[in-house]
Amino acid sequence: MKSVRPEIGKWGRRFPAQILSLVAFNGYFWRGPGKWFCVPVLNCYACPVGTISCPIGSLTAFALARRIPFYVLGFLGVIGVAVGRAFCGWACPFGLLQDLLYRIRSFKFRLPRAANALKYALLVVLVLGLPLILSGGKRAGSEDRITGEQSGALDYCSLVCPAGTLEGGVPVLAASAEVRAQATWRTWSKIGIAVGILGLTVLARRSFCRALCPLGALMALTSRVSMMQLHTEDKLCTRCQRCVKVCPTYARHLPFKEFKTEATAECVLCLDCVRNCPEKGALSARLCGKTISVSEGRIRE
Amino acid sequence: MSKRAWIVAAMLALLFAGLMAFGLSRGDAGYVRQNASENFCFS
Repeated sequence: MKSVRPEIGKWGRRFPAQILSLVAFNGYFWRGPGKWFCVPVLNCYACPVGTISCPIGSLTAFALARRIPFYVLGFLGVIGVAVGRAFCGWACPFGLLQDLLYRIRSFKFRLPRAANALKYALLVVLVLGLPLILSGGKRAGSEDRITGEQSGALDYCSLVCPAGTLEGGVPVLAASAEVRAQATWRTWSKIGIAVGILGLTVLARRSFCRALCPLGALMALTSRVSMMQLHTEDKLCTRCQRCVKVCPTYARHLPFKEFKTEATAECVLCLDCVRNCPEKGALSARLCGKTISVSEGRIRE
Repeated sequence: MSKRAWIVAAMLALLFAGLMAFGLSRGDAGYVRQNASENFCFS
């Protein structure tokens, strides 16, 4: 594959949608009865400020209790089959943060494609495996076999999740001296991990989504068979590779799968490729076979 | 989407909807809500 220089491209309606979801999913702004729903965005699970349940935290909770998470898997599966990873591109507050951080002028590099596999390992090991093996089927009040603490929170993902640290941990620590006094090595290690991940996203576009997000890994399992997909018109595409350059997850690359309908696990359906395509009608997004967005050819390189 | 892809997607959607309904019937949603409301893992 020919290497191309990444570009940010035009955001379009995606930015307002991301802001709206940031407001909707964080209780700093409003609170509602949303804790019943595991909306597939990375949102602090255990934090009281979250208006919805994080699917990753919920899956871990089920693993700790050694219960099969039928509801969580079914809910995520229905969304995944319907719209693939569109929530990653349009609604995830942590995705918005990564998009903003990548706009900081600095040295940029592209993570190797092999890094994509890491998120699947994190899903299996951190979210499901460790809680399932080490919890002994216990939940609140049980002793954590790694930290030895009687915390009742054996959520190993919560030890490293940068979204939880940013949305729940840092604001609470900043607001209360009493809480700061209670901070442990675990608190500071979480903050260190979050800073490291955010630093990486400044340099490598959507690097957390591509390599580290276990929720992205879970949604990627169904995105290949999603009813929402991209479609390239063979006759209209000039292979200028503008779509390749603006793709935040580097999901698009030549050849475009013989210019048929495409579905890849990494595509977050942000439609930046459609918005930035210079050829009218060459690239489109289709939901259930119906075109919902098509390149208008307004943007020229 | 090809006809085959449609059938696969529809069957999967039905399967996941069935899983969700089964989970709801045994109180999974309440379990999710309870865990998400009670735990606070900033430490």
